[in-house]
Parts: sequence; C-alpha cells; structure tokens
Amino acid sequence: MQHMQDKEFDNLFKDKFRDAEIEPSANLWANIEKELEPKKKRTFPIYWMAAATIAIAFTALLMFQNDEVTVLRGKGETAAEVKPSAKTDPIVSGSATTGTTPEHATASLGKNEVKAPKESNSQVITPNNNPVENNLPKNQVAVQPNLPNDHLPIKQQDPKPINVEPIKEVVTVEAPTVTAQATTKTNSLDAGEIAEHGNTERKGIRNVGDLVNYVVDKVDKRDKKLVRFNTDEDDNSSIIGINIGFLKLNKKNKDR
Amino acid sequence: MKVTKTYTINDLLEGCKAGNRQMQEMLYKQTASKMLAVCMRYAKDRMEAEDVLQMGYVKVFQKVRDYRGEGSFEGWIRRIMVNTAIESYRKNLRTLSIVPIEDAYEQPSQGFDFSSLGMQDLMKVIQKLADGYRMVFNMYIIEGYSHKEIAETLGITEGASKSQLSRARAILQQEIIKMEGFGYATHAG
Repeated sequence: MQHMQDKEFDNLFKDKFRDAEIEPSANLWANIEKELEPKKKRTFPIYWMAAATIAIAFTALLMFQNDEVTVLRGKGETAAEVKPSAKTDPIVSGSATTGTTPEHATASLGKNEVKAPKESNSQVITPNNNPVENNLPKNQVAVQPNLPNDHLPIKQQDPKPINVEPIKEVVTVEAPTVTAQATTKTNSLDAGEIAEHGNTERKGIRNVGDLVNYVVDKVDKRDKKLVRFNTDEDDNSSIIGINIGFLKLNKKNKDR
Repeated sequence: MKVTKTYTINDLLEGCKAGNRQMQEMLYKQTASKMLAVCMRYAKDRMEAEDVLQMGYVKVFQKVRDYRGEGSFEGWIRRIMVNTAIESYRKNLRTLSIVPIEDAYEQPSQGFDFSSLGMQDLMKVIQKLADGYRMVFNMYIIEGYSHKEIAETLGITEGASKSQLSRARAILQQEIIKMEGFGYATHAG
C-alpha cells in the first residue's frame, strides 16, 4: 500500500514536470551569447601566442647556435687581429717574417709559408687571394676536421668583401695601411653583421623571414629546414605567423 | 515562445554544429523554457536556475559536435542541463541541511487529491527541500536514475540515497498537505 502510494506520488510529480515550461528572463540569451563570443576570440590569441612562443624559441635556439659560429669567427678575428701588427711590419720590411703574415706571405712568397697560418684559421682571409686559391682547399682540409661542416660555407662567402683589398695589396705593396684598415673593419664586424653581409650578397635580407632563413640555412643543413619562411617584397609579421603553421611541412629548399 | 516553424530541431542541430549563431539562438528559443523548468527543479530559486541554464547552454553549443544522434536531441540537451545542475550542486556543496528526525513525517496521509496542484506549486515545494534531498528526489523520481547511480554521482552511499529519497517524499507530502490546507498531518503523526 505504501509502495503504491509512493508510486502514485512519484508519477504525479513526473507528469507535472514532464512538459513543464518556464520562460527564462529576456536577457539570458544575450548572456549566453556573450559567453560564447570570448571563447572564439580567445582561441585566436592562444594560437598567436603559441606561434609567437615557437618563433621566439627558435630564434633563441638559432641565436645560440649562431654563437658557435661566432666562436669560429672569433678565431678568425683573433688571427686577423694579430696580423695587422705583424703585417705592416713584414710587408714593409720584407717577406722574411714567418707565418704570422699569412696572406702576404702566401701571396708573395708562395705556398711555403702557408702551413703555419693554417693552424691559426687565417684561411678566412687567405682564400681570397688569387694566387692562393690553389691553397684554399688545403687550408680548409686542414681546418675542417676541427670544425663542424656547417660553418664552412660561411667562410667561403664572407671573405668576398675582403677580397678586394688583399688583391690590391698583392698588386701594390704600398697599400699596407689600406689592408690594416680593411682588416680592422672585418674585426669590428659582428657575427650578425657578417651574416647579413653574406646574405645580402646572395639574396638580400628584406625582412626578418629572410634573416631567419639565412641563419637556419647556415645552421641546419638538412633538406627540410627547421624553419622556413616565405618571403615576399611586402613581407611582414603576419607572414611569419602563417608560415609557422607549416613549419615542418615546408619542403621548399634552397640550392643547398 | 516564438517558435520558428521553418526549422526542425534537426535543422537547428546542423546549424549549431556549424557554429551558426542564428541557429544557436533559435535552438535556445525553442528549448530554453523547457530546460529552465528542469533547472528550476534542481535549484533553490530562479536566479540559481538561470545560472545553471546559462552554463548548460554554453556547454550545449560547445559540445554539440559530440552529439551522435543517440536519443533525441532535446533529451541530450536535457541531460546536459541535469549534469550541469548536479555539477553546480557539487561545486558549491552546501552542507546537507539535515532535517531532525522528529520533523520527518513518516506516514503520508492517504487519499488526498493533489492533482489540482499546479506545476508551479510543486516546484515551490521542491525548491524548499534541503539541497541533498532535492537532488536525490529529482534524480530518482523525475530523471529516473538508480540509487546506485545517484550514490556514485553525489558521492554518498546507496543507503543514504534511499533514505534521503523517502525523507524527501515525506517532506514533500507534508508540505503539499499544508499548502492544500488539509489537516491530515496531525492525524498521520
């Protein structure tokens, strides 16, 4: 009896509420809509933030790796630094002095002297002299084992600007001061500047994308680059964001 | 209720899956009053109910792509509302106000006719119940959960679910009798 009563009682409630309707307040939809809106807006910034974070992370990574390149250059620079003082003397005085003057020694004397400078990374400057070109590969062979392959190409290209001056030297021995200036110039160049310089030669850095492409090129020798940007004339930051998206999909390669 | 007849609920479902705001609004307008009635049963008052309703609809539109077409769409929305209400109850779980045993009326009066009572009256009575009782009563009697499911959902024992249900019933009957002006309670006690 009690159970039946409960059942009846329950069913009464069930029936009463089955099709119950209560009109909500008029502004409720507006509230729901408001709550739906920010969700959409919020998702975008998150993607952008993610893209930006990735970009920053890669940039940091690349900068860090670029430092290693700088170390390389550092050797070259120090070698170069030593030279000017030594150079001016030997060139003026004669070719008697030993390996401290790589270029001129090689240029004027020939290949005998080259061996000494090899160790001191002097090849950064030397390879460019026309007469020494034969030695170039040798120099590099000597140095290569010590250095990661990655960085070799940089050297080949970077020295180009320096070429001009040494050649002058070879032709006219009078220009020691010029060489001194030239070398100091190269010394003062930052790794970044050098990098840009090298790139402008090849392609021209029109924007950050190009810069990153260049740096990645130097650091990452695989077919699929770590990061690859599409760069146009009117390239700007928005392009970067989009390209982050197909980061790993991009198969566009340069000649290297 | 402004019901746009040109769209069936399934049309609206597709629109909502596509994230169409107009379709979402139409779905809301078609279903909101029914859903508010559901939320009201679980809430203390209208304000609380509308909060739950709002949260529920946001969930509906966010999860609508997950709806696989099992059961009616309206039933699915209703389940989301109920779950949202339960969630909200658990979140601000107020200590179950336990009615002293003396106040519980064991013996309901027989034979009184409260079919004349309107839904609004019953709603009022339900809303007056202590939160725990109200949850169990709604879940068991209206939504048809088993005691086991209720116990798992609310984190109580099955026994507690059962006893709370019978207590809720007793209180409801008592309240209804009071409301109707029947004097049976004193007889029954």
